[in-house]
Amino acid sequence: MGAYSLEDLLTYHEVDMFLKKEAEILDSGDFESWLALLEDEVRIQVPVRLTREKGALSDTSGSMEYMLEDKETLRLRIERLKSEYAWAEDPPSRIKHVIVNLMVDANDGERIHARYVIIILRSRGESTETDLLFGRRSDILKKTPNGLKLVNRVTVLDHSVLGTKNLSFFI
Amino acid sequence: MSIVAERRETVIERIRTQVLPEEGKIPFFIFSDPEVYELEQERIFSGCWLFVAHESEIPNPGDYVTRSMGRTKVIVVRGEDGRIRVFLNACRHRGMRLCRAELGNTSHFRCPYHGFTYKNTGELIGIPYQKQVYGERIDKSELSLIQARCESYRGLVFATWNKEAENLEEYLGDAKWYLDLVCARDEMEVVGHPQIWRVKTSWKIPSENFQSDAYHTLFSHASIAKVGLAPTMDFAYSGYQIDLGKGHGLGLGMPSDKPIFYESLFDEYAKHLNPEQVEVLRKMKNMHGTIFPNFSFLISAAFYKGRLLSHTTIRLWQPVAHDAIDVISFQLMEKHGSEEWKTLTHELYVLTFGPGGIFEQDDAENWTNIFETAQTVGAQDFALNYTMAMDKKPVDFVGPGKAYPGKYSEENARSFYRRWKELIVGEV
Repeated sequence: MGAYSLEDLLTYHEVDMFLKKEAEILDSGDFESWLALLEDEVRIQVPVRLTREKGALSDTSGSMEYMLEDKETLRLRIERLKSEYAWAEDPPSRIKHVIVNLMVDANDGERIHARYVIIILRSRGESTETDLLFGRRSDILKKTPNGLKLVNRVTVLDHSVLGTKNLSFFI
Repeated sequence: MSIVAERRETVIERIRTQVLPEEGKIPFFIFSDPEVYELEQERIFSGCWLFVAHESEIPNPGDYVTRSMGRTKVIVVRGEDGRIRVFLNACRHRGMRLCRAELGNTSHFRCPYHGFTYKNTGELIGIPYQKQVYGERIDKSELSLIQARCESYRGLVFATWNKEAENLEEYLGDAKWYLDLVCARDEMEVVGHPQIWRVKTSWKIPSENFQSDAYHTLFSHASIAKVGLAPTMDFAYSGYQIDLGKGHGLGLGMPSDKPIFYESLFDEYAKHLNPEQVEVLRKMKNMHGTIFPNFSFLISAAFYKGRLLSHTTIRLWQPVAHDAIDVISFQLMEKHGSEEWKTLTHELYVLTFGPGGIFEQDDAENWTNIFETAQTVGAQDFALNYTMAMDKKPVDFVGPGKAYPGKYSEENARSFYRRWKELIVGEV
């Protein structure tokens, strides 16, 4: 923990506002606006999490994911959600992306590294049960003339068995 | 008669009189009744061959994965001798779960409760304070891990608790010819690790769907055609539904204008398959089936990033309770595929299947909603309609089994429930 400059505080605030705004856009289902927050070369990954013995190799799969996205696959998913046949989200789920424990580092001027905990809550239909997913995120954001854009995102969920019937939403 | 026994007799009688595959009648209650689930655990999941792992998951001595047979937890391990064995995941002393990781490599399993230690070939080799506490009164050779029968076919490891069961190849029977296309067209390997997610439904609903329900793709998966991954909404209509007997069955979509595998792969396929099998692969649009009770496979094609290609998945619909399954879904990949094939086919799998797959996410919506209705008293004794394509006759086909023309059929579902009923009530 060192001393913080005013610029550090402004960057932290900018990242914090970006992530919260992004969450609000996703939760509102405005996926076109969400796409506009992503750089064209964006990559989004959600690797499979594993239950392994302490001290064993990585407990995150290096070769299988729940999501493995670039801008083209994200566009496909969004086009599909807009069709009249995307039953998993019609009627839509009510979803909240909650962002906490934000830390901002590796600020090399153009690229910003943000690490935080993501909590995703889903309510669907008349069910009183809540789908709950949580994990750790690592984002790389880029400063552009139009504000911050997402370049890379890895979300490592804490579940080795996902307690949700599907991922018909964006993690 | 006790209340429990009476309840069981009532359920068996309801199954006997209401599960009528020949009339196309399957009542709601068999999907949700806890007593039906108990009967299945005893009479199906204790007696049938059950898929537990793919050999490529545990290539080296000491490699293991933990899985379930029905709801019984087991360790699938390759011993120091190179042989794969399946053990009850429980210590012989107090029954504590021996292995609580889902995969790893170990020369021995040590119980966390009292420290009993077993080799990865199952023999008990260590008891703490053995001399002081047991003296000469314990024979370690009688306390090896409890072992299930275990056999492999083309890399697929199956196990059963049934000592009387026919051997695996006999059990698979006519399904082998088609499993070769899925699992032995090249050296096929599991990509990384399985995706696992929990769905509130009955294992029978997806097991039946994969072998007998090409029809749902027309509507459930219409979005796939809308975004251009499939040419038309009826992409799964043409082809055959093939009844493989013993509750096994599949749908084989054909013909495809162009191969759904890269041309360069066919040299490899020709080394492993006979010419008739290679020809079927060449003309295949898709293939999806189930080995009774709960192991399914799928080869699914799509136009993706400007190319026609396909991915292959195998999966378990693993019952965890009467109202829940874990879907354990693996991608299988050719060892000798080009880097481009491997990259694109992997992207396609994650995009279209698994919990986030744009095919599969709509299936889960169907399966959970059906299950919710099946749990309601008002619905339980009503029969669902399974009469589709009842009058169709089998036609000649190059592979084994009874091949019915046109994939929109419920012939296989009727066979699936005939086999299910036979095992539960002992007659059809």
